[in-house]
Amino acid sequence: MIVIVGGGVTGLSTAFWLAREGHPVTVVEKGIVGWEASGRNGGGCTHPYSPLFREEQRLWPMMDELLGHPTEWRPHRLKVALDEGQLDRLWKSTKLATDQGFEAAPLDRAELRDLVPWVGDNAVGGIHWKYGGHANPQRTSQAYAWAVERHGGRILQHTAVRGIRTQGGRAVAVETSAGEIGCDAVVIAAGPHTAALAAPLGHRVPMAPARVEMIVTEPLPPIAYGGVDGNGLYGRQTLRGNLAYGGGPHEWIDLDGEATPRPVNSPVVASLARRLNELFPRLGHVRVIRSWGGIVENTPDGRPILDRLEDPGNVVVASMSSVGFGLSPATGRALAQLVLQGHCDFADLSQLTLSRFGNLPLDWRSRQGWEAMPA
Amino acid sequence: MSQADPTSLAGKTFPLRDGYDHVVIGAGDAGIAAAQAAAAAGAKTLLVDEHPLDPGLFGLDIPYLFGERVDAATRNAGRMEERIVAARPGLIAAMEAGVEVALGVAAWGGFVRGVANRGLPRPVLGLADREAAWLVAVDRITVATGARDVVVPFAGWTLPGVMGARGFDAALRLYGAFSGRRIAVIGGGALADGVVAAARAAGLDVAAQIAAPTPVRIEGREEVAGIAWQDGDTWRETACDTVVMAVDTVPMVDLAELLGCPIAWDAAKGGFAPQPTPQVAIVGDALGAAPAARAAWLDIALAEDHALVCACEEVSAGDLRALRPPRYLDAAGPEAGLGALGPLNQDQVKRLTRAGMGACQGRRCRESVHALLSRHRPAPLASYRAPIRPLPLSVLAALEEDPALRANWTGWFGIAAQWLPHWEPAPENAEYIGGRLSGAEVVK
Ligand SMILES: Cc1cc2nc3c(=O)[nH]c(=O)nc-3n(C[C@H](O)[C@H](O)[C@H](O)COP(=O)(O)OP(=O)(O)OC[C@H]3O[C@@H](n4cnc5c(N)ncnc54)[C@H](O)[C@@H]3O)c2cc1C
Repeated sequence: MIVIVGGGVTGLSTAFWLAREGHPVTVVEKGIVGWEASGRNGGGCTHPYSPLFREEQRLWPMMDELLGHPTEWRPHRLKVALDEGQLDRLWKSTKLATDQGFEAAPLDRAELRDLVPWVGDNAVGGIHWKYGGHANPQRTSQAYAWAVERHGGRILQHTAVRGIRTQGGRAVAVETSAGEIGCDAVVIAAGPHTAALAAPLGHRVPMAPARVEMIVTEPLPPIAYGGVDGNGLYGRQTLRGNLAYGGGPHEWIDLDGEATPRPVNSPVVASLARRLNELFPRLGHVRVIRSWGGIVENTPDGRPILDRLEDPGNVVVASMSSVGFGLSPATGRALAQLVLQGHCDFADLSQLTLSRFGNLPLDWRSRQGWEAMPA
Repeated sequence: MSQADPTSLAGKTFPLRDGYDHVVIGAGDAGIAAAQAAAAAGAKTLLVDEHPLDPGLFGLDIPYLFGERVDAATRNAGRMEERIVAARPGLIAAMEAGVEVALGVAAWGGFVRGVANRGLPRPVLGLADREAAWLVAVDRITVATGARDVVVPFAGWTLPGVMGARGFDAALRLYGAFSGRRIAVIGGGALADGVVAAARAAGLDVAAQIAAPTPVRIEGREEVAGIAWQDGDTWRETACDTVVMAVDTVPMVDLAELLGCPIAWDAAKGGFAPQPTPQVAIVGDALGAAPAARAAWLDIALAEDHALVCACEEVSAGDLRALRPPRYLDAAGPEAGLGALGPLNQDQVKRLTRAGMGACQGRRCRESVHALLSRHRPAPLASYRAPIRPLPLSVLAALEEDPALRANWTGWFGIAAQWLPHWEPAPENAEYIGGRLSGAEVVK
C-alpha cells in the first residue's frame, strides 16, 4: 500500500499515476480534496523554468481523456505589456521557452486588440505564447480524485495524518485520525504542512507559508485565448467568461497546528481590481463579484523539493513551492517514479533535492524577511 | 529580523478615509436605534445604508428579489434619497443626535485581524458609493443588515414580476416605486400576511394568497401574467402582474461572516444565524427573526428535476442531483451524482456545478441548494467573500492605495531564483525576471 498524505493536486496526481499502473494507493486528506491551494489558484499551466515543463506541455492536452472528466484546459497564453520595461522582461521569460523549441510571436497593439478586445491605448504590445495554457483548478482537482477511485485507489477525506511510524529505516504505517494504515511507501504532499510531517522523521524541510488573494468578475463574452496576463497580474478568462486574476503582495504567516488557516481577504482585492482595470481600461463597468484567498508554501529559493529520502528510504517528500498546479500532471508522474524506482527517467530533478538546504541557517525565514507579522 | 520582504504585506498600510468609534450597517429600525444609542453614549458614530441602491443592483436582485418591478424613478438617486428619509423618520432624529448618516453607501468588505491576517491594527470596513470605494477604521461594528428573500423555485420564477417579500416592501414603502397593480402572494405566515396588508393599504389588488405548501406554476411569456396552483385534486389559476414570494426570509449574514462572526444553522432563527463577537454586535432581523417555514415548499418545488435553481448559471435541481458540469462543457457528471462526493459541502458543489457562482452569488439559490444537500444533516454555510456587493472595477479601483504597496507590486512573490531554470543550481544573485513593477514602471 502506498499512502499519499495530502489531497491537493500534487498528491492526487501522484496517486493517479500509481493507481493507473495498478498499484494500491490511499490518499489521506484532512479536509476535502483540492480544498486548499489546489482549488484556489490561477490555473496557469506554463512553467518553462521547470525541468518538468516539457512533460507539463505534453500531458495537458491528454488530461481530460486520462482523467475522464473535463479540466477546462485551454492552450496558449497572451502577454500584455503596458510599457517597454514590461515588454523587455516578458521577452526574457519568453526566451526560457523558445530556447527549448517552443514558439512565441510578437504582437503589436492592433494585433493584441484583435485577440483581446479589452486592452486599451496604454498597451505598447505583447507576446503570443504558443505554448502553455490554463485549466480550472477545482474541476481538475476533483477529476484527479475521481480518476484515482476509478482505477481502484482509495481517497479518505476528512481524515488527518498525525504521524508516520518507522521501523528499521522504513515507514511501516501512517497514523491518522481514523486509525493506522500499514504502508510500503509514503508520499508527503501536504503543502505547507509538509514540514511538520517530515520533522519527526528527522528531516528539516524548510518552507514558509503565505496567504495570497484573487478576484473574479462577472462573465464577459469569451475571447479566443483566455489566458491573458500583464501589469503584474496573472489570471485567465474562465470558459464561462469570468475574469479571475491574482498577483500583488502576499502575507507570510505561521501555521497554527494541523488546520490550514482560513485564507481571508484584505483590501488588496481593490488593488487587484485597479490593476485589472489598468490592464483592460475598457472594462471599468465590469463588476467584481467575489474574491478568495489561498495558502501556499515557499522554499528558501522558491523552487520545488521533489525528493526520496535516504532514511526512511521509502518516503518521498514533495513541495511545489507555490507553483504547482500547472505542473501537477508531470509532477505526479515524476513522484510516482520516485516512489517506484527512486529516480525520474524523463526529467532532471537533480537540483530539487532536500540536501541543497543542508547548510541553511536555522533563522533563514528571518534573514530573508519572510517572517509572519507580530501576533 | 532583517528587512521585511518588500513584496509582502509587512510594512504596508491601507489608507483610511476616516475612523469611527462605532459604525452601524443598515438603517432600518434596529440600526437607527443602535446608532442613536452609540452617539448618545458619546461615540463618534457612522450609520450607513446601501439604499438608494446603485440602479444596476435592482436587475441583479441584490440585496432583495426585486423581480424588475421597480419603476424608472429608482434611477434618480436624489429623489430616492428624499423618499428614504421620508419613509424612515428616525434618520432625522439620528442625525440630530449626532450620528453621521450616509445613504447610498454599501458595505462591501469587512476586514479583521486574524491568524492569517495580521496587518490590521483595527477592524476596517470597505464602503462604496456609485463612484468610489474607500476604507474606514472602526472599533465597534453593529450589523443591522436585516433579512433577505428566499426563492421557492417553482416553474416561471425567473419571469419579471416575481418578487420577494423584502423586495416588494422596499419597492412599495421605501422607494415608492412599485410598478405592479395586481399581486398574488405565496406563503401563509406573518410575512405573507404583512405583504397582503401592505398591498391592500396601498390600493393594490390582491388576486390570491396561496397559504399552504402546494405545487405552483407562474405563468407568462415575457413577464408574469398569472399564477396557477394545485388545490386538492384541481388546479386553480388567476391573472396577476406580480407574484410575491413570502414564504420565508433569512438573516443577511454576508457582512457578519466577513467580520468573523460565528454562523451556525438554526432553523428556529430561519436558517444560518450569526453570533456576535467582542467587536461586532448584531441586531434586528439580521439575528434571525422567525423560524424557517420553507422546507415543505422547497421539497415540492425541488422534486421536479427541471426546476431552475440557479438562474445566473442555469443550474436545475436535476443538474445538482447529477452533479452535472455546466452546459458549456457538455459533459456528464459522475455516475453516482452527488453520491460521488463525501459529506456534502455547498461550496464544493458550487465549484463543480456553478450553482451560486453567478453575479448574485447565490442570493437567489442558496436556500434551494442547501435544502438539496441537507437531506441527512444540514450542509455547512456556503461562504461569502468581499465584495459582498458586486462593484464595478472602476469603483474598486478608486480605493486609495499605499504608494509602497504599489511600488513593490509583483506578480508572484518576487523570488528571483524561482523564475530561472530549475535544472541549474539557484544563482547567488539572480536577476529578477518575474515581473516586478517598480514605482517608475507602473502606469499611473
Ligand atoms: C491564489 C493562488 C494562485 C495560484 N496560481 C497558480 C497558477 O496559476 N499556476 C500554478 O501552477 N500554481 C498556482 N498556484 C500554486 C498552486 O495552487 C499550488 O502550488 C498547488 O496547488 C500545490 O498543490 P499541493 O497538492 O502540493 O498542495 P495543497 O493544495 O496545499 O494540498 C495539500 C493538501 O494536504 C492536506 N493536508 C495537510 N496536512 C495534512 C495532514 N496532516 N493530513 C492529511 N492531509 C493534510 C491539505 O488539507 C491540502 O489539501 C497558486 C496558488 C494560489 C493560492
